[in-house]
Amino acid sequence: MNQASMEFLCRSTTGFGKIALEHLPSDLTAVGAQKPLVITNKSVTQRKGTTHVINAFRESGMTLGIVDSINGTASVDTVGELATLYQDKGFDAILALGPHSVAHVAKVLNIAVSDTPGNLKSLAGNGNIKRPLNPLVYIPSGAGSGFETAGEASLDALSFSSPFLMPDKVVIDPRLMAQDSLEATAGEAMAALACCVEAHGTTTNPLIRSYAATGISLVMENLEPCLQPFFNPKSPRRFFPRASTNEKALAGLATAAAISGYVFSNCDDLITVNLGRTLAGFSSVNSGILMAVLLPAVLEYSSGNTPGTMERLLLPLVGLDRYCATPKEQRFDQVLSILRQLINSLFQRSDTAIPRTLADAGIRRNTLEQMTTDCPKIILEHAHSGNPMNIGEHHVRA
Amino acid sequence: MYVPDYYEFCCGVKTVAGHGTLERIPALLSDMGAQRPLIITDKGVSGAGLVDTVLKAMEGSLPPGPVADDVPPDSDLKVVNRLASVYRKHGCDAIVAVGGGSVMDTAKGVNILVSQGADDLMAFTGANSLKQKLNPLIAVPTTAGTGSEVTVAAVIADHEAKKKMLFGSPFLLPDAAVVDPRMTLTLPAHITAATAMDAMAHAVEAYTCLAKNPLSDAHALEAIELIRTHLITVVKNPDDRDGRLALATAATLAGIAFSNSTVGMVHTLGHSVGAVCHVPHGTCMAILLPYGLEYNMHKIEERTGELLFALAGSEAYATTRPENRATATIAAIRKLNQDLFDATDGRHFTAFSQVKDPQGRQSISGPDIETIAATALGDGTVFYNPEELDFDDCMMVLSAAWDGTPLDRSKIKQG
Repeated sequence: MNQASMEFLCRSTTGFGKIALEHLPSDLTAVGAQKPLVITNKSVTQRKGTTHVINAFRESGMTLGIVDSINGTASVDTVGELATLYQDKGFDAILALGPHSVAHVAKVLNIAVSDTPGNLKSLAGNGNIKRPLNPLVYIPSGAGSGFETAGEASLDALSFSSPFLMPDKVVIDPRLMAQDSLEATAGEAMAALACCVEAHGTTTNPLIRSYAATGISLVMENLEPCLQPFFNPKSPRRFFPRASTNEKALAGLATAAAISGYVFSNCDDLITVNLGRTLAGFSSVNSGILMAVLLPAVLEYSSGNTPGTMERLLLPLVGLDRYCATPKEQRFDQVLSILRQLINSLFQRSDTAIPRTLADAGIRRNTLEQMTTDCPKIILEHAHSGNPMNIGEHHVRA
Repeated sequence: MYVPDYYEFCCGVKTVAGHGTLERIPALLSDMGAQRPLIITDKGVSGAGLVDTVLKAMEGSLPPGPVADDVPPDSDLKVVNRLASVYRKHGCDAIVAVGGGSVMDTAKGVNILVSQGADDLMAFTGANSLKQKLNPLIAVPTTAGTGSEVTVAAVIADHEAKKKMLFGSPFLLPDAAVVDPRMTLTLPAHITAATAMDAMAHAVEAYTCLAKNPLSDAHALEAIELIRTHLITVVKNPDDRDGRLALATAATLAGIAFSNSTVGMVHTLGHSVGAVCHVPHGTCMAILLPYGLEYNMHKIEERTGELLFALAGSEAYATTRPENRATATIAAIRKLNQDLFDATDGRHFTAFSQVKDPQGRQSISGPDIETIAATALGDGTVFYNPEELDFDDCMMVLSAAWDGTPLDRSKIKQG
């Protein structure tokens, strides 16, 4: 631990596992809420996700409202309509059920309907929301971006950042897990991995490390089972509809994604996340996958400043036995090797659909040169080519 | 990684840890819309000059509010009621609790009354009786420690009715915990040792007992490693501020861990030893911790073995055969206790027979052990212990802990 002041706040309660949904009525009662509004999309409803939520409330005596028309084109106008519905019908909590777009609409809606002085525009930006909002529960269903649980939301041109945007509760129930595309699944896992690895490797804050280590381990344990249906399509079909290994693994990845949102909200500047999001604008590749492509170069660049923490990354990546058996001086090399092997393996098994480098992702070198970014160019160069960085011959990260 | 079928994890406390973090208190209060805090503490803390340190850190940013420093060692309902009146009389809008477990519990009790506009604390006992957010509360721990700055529970004693009231709610979590090593700098060596072993017991039991989960495990391991790395150094060099910060942060991490996964027989027995013979909690934890692991070994051997890494380092883990790691973990804890005994000139106890009260009298006599064993079985933590416990089991463990001899594991009934 170093002497600098360390802060950490995770406002969200995480509930994971069998019948996690069934805890919701008592959770809401505990905070004085009786009439939640469920915000979701048609895809979740078609997969019976909404049915599971309704069934969880069946014996509760509560009234549930359901809006399942949220999609990627939702706007501030959508929030306005939902706010009118929420207030007119006397709802007192929001359950956001689904992916990224649903989470952001729900968060912005919660700003609009909570007793928060100011209109949406005046509350945009960093830190303008200064008090708790109405109860908000996030329930992932399908692969997310990895940051649905973070203290941020954006809709149209408005962006909000505040710890009060973190959901009060995150409910991860295997029954709601649905297999998305290879790219979406891998993207969620890689976003969580990149965020947690960079955070863990560049901090001495043990609170961040605790969450980040858990996120890393969850990705490493659950990624392969989640990708099996894509790489081994002849997996046996199940006759009885109970949670399969795949659903549990998807729930494990969803937990890692939730954790990455908490970690992200507590880190000042994660290069992989910020740059991955920026580069997604120049490529058709999922931002999470781009984060994983950037990760080794970011770690190499950052390692000069925090060598003691970098070697520790091996522990959540491979477990206790292999970590302790590896001499300390070899550990960081192993970390980089494992991360590179992971992305290379995905490249090969996906028939090159998942890129190994920024060049594979279709991002041109001159695009990188013209980009306005605070990111050191050396990171972009090495992530573009895939060439390992010669540690020691670059500036250390401030 | 062990993942239970269902688990929850929460710690909604803003943790601010580091040198000079007391100076953040005014800004933290301002963020919460508060400007007139009641400082709740006890005579020991104020006598040690720690309240003055807090007030000085807040100087210039906030007008000074009232200070109540008469919280007793055991939290008391009458004191809670009186402090609630003080809060209201002075128009306070927040509480800053500076102290150990009793101060924290008292502050949480006061906060219930003033936030709910109530006079009867009994109405809020049990789990989840609170339905809304309470007024701002900042916790400044002065031991390292109970972890009460990050727990959802409070215990308030009604001495007249001779009962303890238990409160449990996420709304009891302080809004912020300020962990500044200045608050533990003057802790005497033997109290530093005992309170750190309290934190160690929290972390170890959180990792090994029935309600563990991946997030509580991660917090527990960080805590154990910090304590192992820094405790002996700090006991020998009390001015080691970085070490003090590490131990204080470890106590917070351990508090987060056990608040989310509870504890087991070390606390089951330790609570009773404290209740019957008034032995300080940290002392009970230090003595009983190896016995809890020995007793449960047949059920939790693998996870006990995993702790060897945090307790003794990667080399020790790698060079110890897997089948020997659990016993090596227990040996490491016994060695830590012995090193602390040596470093404190015998004031950190390793067996109940050694424990003396401030007047030098033996704290636990032979006949006390039966009373302790009988009382222990009424403690709620017994349900989270990996192996069942009955009266005879408690007697066996307590007798061995009295002597300071390892358990005869062949006599443990395996359920």
